[in-house]
Amino acid sequence: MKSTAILKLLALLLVMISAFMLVCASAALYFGEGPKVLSAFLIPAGGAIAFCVSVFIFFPSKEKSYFSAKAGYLFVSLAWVAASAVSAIPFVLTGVVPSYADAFFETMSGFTTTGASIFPDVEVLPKAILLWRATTHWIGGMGIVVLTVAVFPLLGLGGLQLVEAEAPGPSVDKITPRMAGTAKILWFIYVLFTILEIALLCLGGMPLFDSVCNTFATVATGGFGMKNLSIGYYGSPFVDIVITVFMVLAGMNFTLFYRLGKGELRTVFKDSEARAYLGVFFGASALIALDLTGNGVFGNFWTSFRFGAFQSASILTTTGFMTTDFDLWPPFSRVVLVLLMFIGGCAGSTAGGIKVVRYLVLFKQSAVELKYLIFPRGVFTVRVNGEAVRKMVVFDAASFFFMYIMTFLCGTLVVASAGYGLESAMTAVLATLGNIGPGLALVGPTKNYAHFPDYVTWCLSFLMLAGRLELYTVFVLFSSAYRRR
Amino acid sequence: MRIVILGAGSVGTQLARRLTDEGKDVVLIEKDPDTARVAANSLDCLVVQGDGSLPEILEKTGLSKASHFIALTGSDEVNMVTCSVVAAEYAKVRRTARVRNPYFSKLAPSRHSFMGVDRFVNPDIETARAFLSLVTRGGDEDIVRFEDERLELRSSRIAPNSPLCGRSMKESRATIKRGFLAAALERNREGAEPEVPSGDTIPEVGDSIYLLGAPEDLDAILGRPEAHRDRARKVVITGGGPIGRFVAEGLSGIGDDLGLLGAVNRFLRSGGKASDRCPRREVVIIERDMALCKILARDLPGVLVLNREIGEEDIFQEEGLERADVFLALDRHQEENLLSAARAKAFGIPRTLALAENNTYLPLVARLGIDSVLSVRSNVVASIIEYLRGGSLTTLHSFFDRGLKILEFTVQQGKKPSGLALKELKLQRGALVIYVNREGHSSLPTGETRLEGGDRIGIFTNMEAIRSVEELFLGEGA
Repeated sequence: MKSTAILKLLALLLVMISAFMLVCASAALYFGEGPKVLSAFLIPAGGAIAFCVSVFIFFPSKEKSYFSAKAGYLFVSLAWVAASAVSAIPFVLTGVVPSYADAFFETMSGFTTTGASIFPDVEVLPKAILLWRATTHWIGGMGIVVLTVAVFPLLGLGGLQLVEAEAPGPSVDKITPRMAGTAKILWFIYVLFTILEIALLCLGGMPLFDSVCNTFATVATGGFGMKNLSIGYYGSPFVDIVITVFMVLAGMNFTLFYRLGKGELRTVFKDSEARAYLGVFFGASALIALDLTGNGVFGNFWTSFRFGAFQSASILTTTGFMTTDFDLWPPFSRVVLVLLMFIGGCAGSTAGGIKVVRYLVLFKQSAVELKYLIFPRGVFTVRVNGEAVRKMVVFDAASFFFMYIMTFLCGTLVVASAGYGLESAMTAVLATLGNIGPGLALVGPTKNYAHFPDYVTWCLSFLMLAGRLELYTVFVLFSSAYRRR
Repeated sequence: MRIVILGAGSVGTQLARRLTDEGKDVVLIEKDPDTARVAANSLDCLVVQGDGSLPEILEKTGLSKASHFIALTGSDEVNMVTCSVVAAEYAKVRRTARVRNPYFSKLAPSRHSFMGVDRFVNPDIETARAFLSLVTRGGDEDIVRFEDERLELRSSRIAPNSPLCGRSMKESRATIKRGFLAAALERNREGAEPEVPSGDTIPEVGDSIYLLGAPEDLDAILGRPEAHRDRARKVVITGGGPIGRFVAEGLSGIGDDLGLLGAVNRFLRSGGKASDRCPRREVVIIERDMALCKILARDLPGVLVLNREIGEEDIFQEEGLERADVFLALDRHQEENLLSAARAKAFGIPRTLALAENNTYLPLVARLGIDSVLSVRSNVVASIIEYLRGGSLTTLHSFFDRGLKILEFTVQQGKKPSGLALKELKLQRGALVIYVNREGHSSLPTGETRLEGGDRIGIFTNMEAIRSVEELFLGEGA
């Protein structure tokens, strides 16, 4: 594997990101935000383009590159780090974030669709910066590499390797013979949802600029708010419902929408992951609504349900929006939300977390284990969606689960070392590792992540990346087996 | 009627013998000279030695004058290719092929022909079907429902307080003011054969009677059947080969929707009343080959697959097999099947059935206490013969253990039975027309009922009368 191929792909990726920066620069121009903001976007964009041109001048070979599994993991991890490193520059140059560690955290939080922010007050930020935060969500939602694969036919073989290294969930459903075709279809669905939601939010009376930014943060299950009160600022039931619905949709497997479009209704409605996911969503919403009504937080059940459903969707799909400060809710509701943080969305969605399908597989495996106790000589298979699941997939889910919990515990240890209490430390790690955003207590929905010392900020940035790339892609780089090959 | 059979294996020769016994012209094609010689010596038919897929060999058999070509070699491919050749050269000949690949048996029957084959006979599926209907329909308290649900055939033992007991049928008919038809009566005596009761027959306590009528009328005469108890709640199958697999598939209702939605679907499909008609069964397969077990567990959700041998000493107690209602021994070796079926009987399983390769051990079956033994070979032969009889006389239901059958026949406009009254048909004793379905309405016929073109009539018959029924309805030479 030639490192030049990795370099070239990285250069192309940076060019793509600088194209988005140019869009934000024109927004700065449009809103008249002065030369400082404008140059903060133009300088890194120009640098990235210059870098790309020089790479292609120095290494002019035209052959298509093949990606081995090893190179694929390296490239994907590097792509995310490089994209965040470059995209953090506008935050530093505009002067809104004094420390680079915080700026990197903010962009990593954007690309990984976490939505954890270091800004105590977002309403004073220039509009171009707000748009840039939302844009990092939107790019990161479907995956930086998936975007690269969709746009550049440069990758010959190995496209699947890359997408698999990046995509959320245990496996990638190829829905077209070529990976680039699949990536294009997924992006098309993604763009379609984006346009639909912008239109609906505008219809609900939200200003166009806010609609765009909030939509980017919703369909990517990101969660960066435009306002200090996030979606609660608008105080509109219609907006709440639209965003709840789109959060739930964005947390579902995108290939399902493709099958829906092709008219395969039966497979879609029988999909066990989607059913379990919706079951968890409605169950949690109902529990929270009951608790809120019982404790008299809101006047009636339906208002409670509206807020409960919004918050459940926001946490389950790892978005991180809020319509009210749920840190003030009664303990039972807060516990339900923390438990939702452990679940996450469906495989093949833009959501993070452990993913519903892994729970499904592990639950079924546990049921099989019980059967073995009764029929020691019986032969049983774990099946999801009526299809038998191979043993490897079960092991994979189990070890992922274990690794996730271990990472969570180690992360908590690091955060606690800076003097944070159990609730803050645990939820800060859960919220970043699961790409959710807000936690409880000191990282609650009305608080921010600016108060952490730099080493904790870097650690949390790393956790966001590890969570988004589903641990293995990142961890494999540190394994001795990787270095030996 | 000339019939050409390809392959003088055991099924081929058995079929040839049955057909020559019925007086048909049979030509056998056999590649192997020795087998061909043996067949020629033992059968009263023409044996052509050679490769059946060659047109000149087919020519020799006089295929142009034949009505049916039946390919029964051991190879799916040879059977199908030969049928294609026959289809190309002799389009008028109806072609049947024995094919083990289950895909072809699942082709819609409406499909005219596929690769030159008009009808696929799959020995495994035919046998599995026979076992399935034994398990799901057999037994003594039988209810047969006909498609429009307006008529039912019930068999019942005559109780001392029954309105039929101790009176002649003529008297009963006069006193019971409800429509019914007594299709058969089996005396409660050793070796008694079911017979069609006449007006003077007097049913006695303990006799079994078969009554046809509307469900509410039968309820009034025989009493409501006790809440239908599925006598096959738990079924144990040994052997996970193709037959065991198809039987398990059929019994566990795979293909039916599982879960709550499935239960609702089943309820709706059964018209909201007889939800017991496709009950959830507990099906256990015992197979000694682990690799096969894995495939079965993968393909048959809802079936318990155990990786054991039925010959193990404590298996019945350990796996709770004694509580089974039906035991099916469908393993590879017939000796083992017979013994394990007998053993299951000894453990108190009410019904045990076994699969055999041939009829060698048939005399032992009754002594071992096994309820039924079916052989693959006889099943294939029976199903082919049924097909040769023509599509219009079809078997609706068989009471395997009693040798009774219900056949259905569609009357053609202007052809023989149309325009005749039933009493003019002169059916042999033992056969009886039990219903006439005209324009979708079934009714109980009398001797005066006149048949019209398009009528579908049900004929209840015992084994002796079958031939005469066939001759009557399918014409001479059939």
